[in-house]
Amino acid sequence: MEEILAEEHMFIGADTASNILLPFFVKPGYEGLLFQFSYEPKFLDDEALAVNLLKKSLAKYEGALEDQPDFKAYLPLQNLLTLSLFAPDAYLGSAHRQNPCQQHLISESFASYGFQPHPITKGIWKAAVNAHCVITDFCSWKLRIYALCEEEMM
Amino acid sequence: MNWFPVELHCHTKHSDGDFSPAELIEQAKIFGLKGIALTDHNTVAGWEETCSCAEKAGICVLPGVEWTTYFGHMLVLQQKDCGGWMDLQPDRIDAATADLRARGGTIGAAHPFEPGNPVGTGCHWDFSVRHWENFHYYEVMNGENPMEKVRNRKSLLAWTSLLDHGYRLTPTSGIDWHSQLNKEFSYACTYVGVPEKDCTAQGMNHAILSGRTSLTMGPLLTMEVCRESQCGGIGDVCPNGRYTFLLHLDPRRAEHWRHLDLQPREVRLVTNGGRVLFQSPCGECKLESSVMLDVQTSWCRAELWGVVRDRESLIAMTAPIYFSQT
Ligand SMILES: [Zn+2]
Ligand SMILES: [Zn+2]
Repeated sequence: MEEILAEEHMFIGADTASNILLPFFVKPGYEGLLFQFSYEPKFLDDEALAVNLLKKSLAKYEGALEDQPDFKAYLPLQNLLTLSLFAPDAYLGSAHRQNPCQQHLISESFASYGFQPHPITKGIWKAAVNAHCVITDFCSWKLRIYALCEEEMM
Repeated sequence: MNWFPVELHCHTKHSDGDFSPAELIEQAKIFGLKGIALTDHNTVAGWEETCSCAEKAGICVLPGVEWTTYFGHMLVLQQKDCGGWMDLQPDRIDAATADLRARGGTIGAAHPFEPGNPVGTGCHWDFSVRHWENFHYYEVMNGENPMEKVRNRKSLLAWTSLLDHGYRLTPTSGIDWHSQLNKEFSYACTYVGVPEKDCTAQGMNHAILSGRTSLTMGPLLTMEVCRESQCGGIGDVCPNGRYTFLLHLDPRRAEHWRHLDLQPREVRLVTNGGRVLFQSPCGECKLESSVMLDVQTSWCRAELWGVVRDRESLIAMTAPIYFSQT
């Protein structure tokens, strides 16, 4: 198992609605790619602040709060980052779900939910970290990518 | 015309849904649906498995993607290439839809008035669309208890305004199916009008492209216009003039939402600006109603109003018949 990328970064609120693109080179001879992606914090823990932000947002989008008796159902507010992948010749998909700690495997015959299987071709691949929503002041994330050879795929 | 119940907005484990593709198809079967559109967020990874499960179960699948961008969610059917979602900026929407359309995609705006961040990430429609003619459909009812929500009432108004401006966007509903449905809730179902006797993916797609849908939380509402030997149906374009409108309500179609307490009270014919051209009381039983009207406006749709979950509400609505000056 060869580590081919280890990236750590911190998003701020203003990074919402942007992407970080991380190209990485895959040498020939590998059978699989393993991705470990995590971020924290997941939730905005300051409830008073969260209620305030929520009220502001709902007032903007849905009008009077009196029409939203169950607005607290939207709590806790959470960050959402996703990981998307590009093979040298194709977009493979995205793992669009709330789990802040994810592991994905890609190979010619198998791919984790959200991604299409793809042969581990030599060349420049790209991972994209997508900041759908950063509601906390800071949100740090980590991405590690490993290339696996045939024996390591069992 | 045969009317088949379908669900045009579905998620699986390939994005944030609870169901595997096989479970989604099983659920569709339980609710008596004849077809679904698979629209996971930013991925087509579920297409193959969902289509093969559906084939065995006799359900048709329109493969699609919910382009889950930062400025609105867009449903794109029958177009695999979706890697551009993350770069789609509000002022680039027209170029993107023109390109998708040229490549054979069927394009709809999803839940345009759903609250955006931090409630629903990128859910609110913030694109500046100049070319609505690039779109094929508009999701006017989304989620559970759709007509109890401000967001869907806004969508209905916005879609009505687009019709008034000459954009013939087909209305659709979407449960936005992520998990088990709640028996206490109301959900809208889209019926697609297909001339062939079986429902196929092709037939579903063609119905959307041709404006042949009818949305309902219970009974199926359909409409026809006739004069002399000339007749027109939902989605058709007819010349302005005097027509006999035939409205038809089929309560048997409500079978799969039987549990819901729903009381039809009135049918309406609605035209430009949301103006009511005709209204007539109706009961729960099978309804056939006809009325002669001189139509000088550009579209006309039928609506069924009544009580849903103890509230006065829109229950069903057809896509329009369009009218043009001769
Ligand atoms: Zn959505
Ligand atoms: Zn959705």
